[in-house]
Amino acid sequence: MADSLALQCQNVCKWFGSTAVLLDVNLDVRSREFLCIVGPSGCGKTTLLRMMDGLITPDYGTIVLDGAPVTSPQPSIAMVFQDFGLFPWKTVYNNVAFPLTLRRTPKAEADIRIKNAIQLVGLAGSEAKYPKQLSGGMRQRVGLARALAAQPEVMLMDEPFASVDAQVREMLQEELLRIWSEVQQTVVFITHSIDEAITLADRIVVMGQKPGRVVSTIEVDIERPRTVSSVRRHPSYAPLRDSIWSMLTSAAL
Amino acid sequence: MVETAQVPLAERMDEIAKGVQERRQREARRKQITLWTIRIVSLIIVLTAWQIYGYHSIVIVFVPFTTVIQAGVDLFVNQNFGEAVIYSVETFLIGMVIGAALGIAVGLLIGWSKKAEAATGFYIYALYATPMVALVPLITLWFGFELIAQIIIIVLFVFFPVVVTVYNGVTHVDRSLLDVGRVFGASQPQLWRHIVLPAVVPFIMTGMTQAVAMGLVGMFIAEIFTALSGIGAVLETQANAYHTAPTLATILVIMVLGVVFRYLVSLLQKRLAPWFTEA
Repeated sequence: MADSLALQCQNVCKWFGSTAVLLDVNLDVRSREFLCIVGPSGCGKTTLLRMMDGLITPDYGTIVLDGAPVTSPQPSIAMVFQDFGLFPWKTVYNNVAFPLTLRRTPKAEADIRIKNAIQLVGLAGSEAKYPKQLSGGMRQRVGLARALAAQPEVMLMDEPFASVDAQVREMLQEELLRIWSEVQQTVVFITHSIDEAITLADRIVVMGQKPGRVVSTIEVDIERPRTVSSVRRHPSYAPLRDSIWSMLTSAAL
Repeated sequence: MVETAQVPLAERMDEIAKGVQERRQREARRKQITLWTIRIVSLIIVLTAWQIYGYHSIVIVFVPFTTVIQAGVDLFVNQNFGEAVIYSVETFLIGMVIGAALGIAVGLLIGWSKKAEAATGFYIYALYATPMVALVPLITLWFGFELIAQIIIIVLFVFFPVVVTVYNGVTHVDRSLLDVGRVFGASQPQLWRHIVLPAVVPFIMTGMTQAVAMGLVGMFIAEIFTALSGIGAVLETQANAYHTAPTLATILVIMVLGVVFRYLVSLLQKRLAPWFTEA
């Protein structure tokens, strides 16, 4: 089971106009792994993520989820957005409830799942607030809770911590490590921070740009449970960081 | 030296916090009182100036404030002004509801569907740019001089500001929020119910605020250019007879109506879009 595949990208290509955004991307996401995709801005990593969800379709190649090609948004996939994507007219509770409301999940069951998700991200007590009343870090917790409440098989995270300041970012990484150890879902997490990728990931996919392509895939052999600081002190940390850094810089040339 | 039992700071924190809260509230209240004082003083100055200037003017040109109030009371008590007001307000409300409903519906439609916009947008912009008064003779030609024609005129005045702001609202719905809806598998009706409509509510309310102002203009034009009726008739009759005091009184009533309707729209906005005002 450990090695079964959750999601596969096969020969995926995408052009915007006449520029190739992604060329022949092949990528396997294993079940229950935490996969990070690192790359410079403009390498098409967000485009790739949006294709994994079926929001956009590849021009060539296929994305396969559970043996079937993905052509439209899948209920078994949830997403956490860089700009949070919260509805200003919904309270925290109703924002988290959104995926369950769409699926008409029975009220009692939905209520338990929503409350659990809110509890898990540490927002208990803020259910009745509107997003406007929350700080950036708290807003992204709501975004995370919403994805968790959907109980997806795969969770896609598009630079979720890029819009919050450095300290909050580390706190959220810490929280995500804790939450992931509890839910153990398949996660595909996009970032342009090498540190963030090493801290969170089981495997790191390094992407290059112009056109966007997979440069290399690296296993992170740092045992769990992790904390942000335990990762930093780990002997594998510095060599990993160096090798990813050199891949990114040589790919940029 | 007197020994005083010092309660540690940590235990007094609630009390201190309460004190701070109270001080903030006091300061906020004081600020409010200052602003209201300024408003009232301003009103007193303007009304006093009006009174003095009116007292020294020729009766036909201008009259003191108190005379205007007396004339207003006289209009209501002896000349059935109340009936005229009710007639006008009823006509206005009917035109307002029809015009706003049409405006919202058409605005949503052409905002969402590029094809509907391509089919009808041109006419809407062309008519929006046309001064509505120019259409009044045609309306009376087609629909006569009675209530129907008056309502149609008000509808025309109300429809365009609403349709244009609602259209604008729909085209400005945050695309990333629509993506969120799609990611979690929202159907088209669900996208509308959870994302498009709530996002458009503030635009609808802006359109309604403008529509109130335009609708009142429409109401007067209707009442003066078709069969003389309602408040418009009173205004026209009094002004033509150089009865300056009742004319000014009528204008004050119109002003009050405008303020009241705008206030009602803002209440509606608070009700329909609490996220827009809250904190």
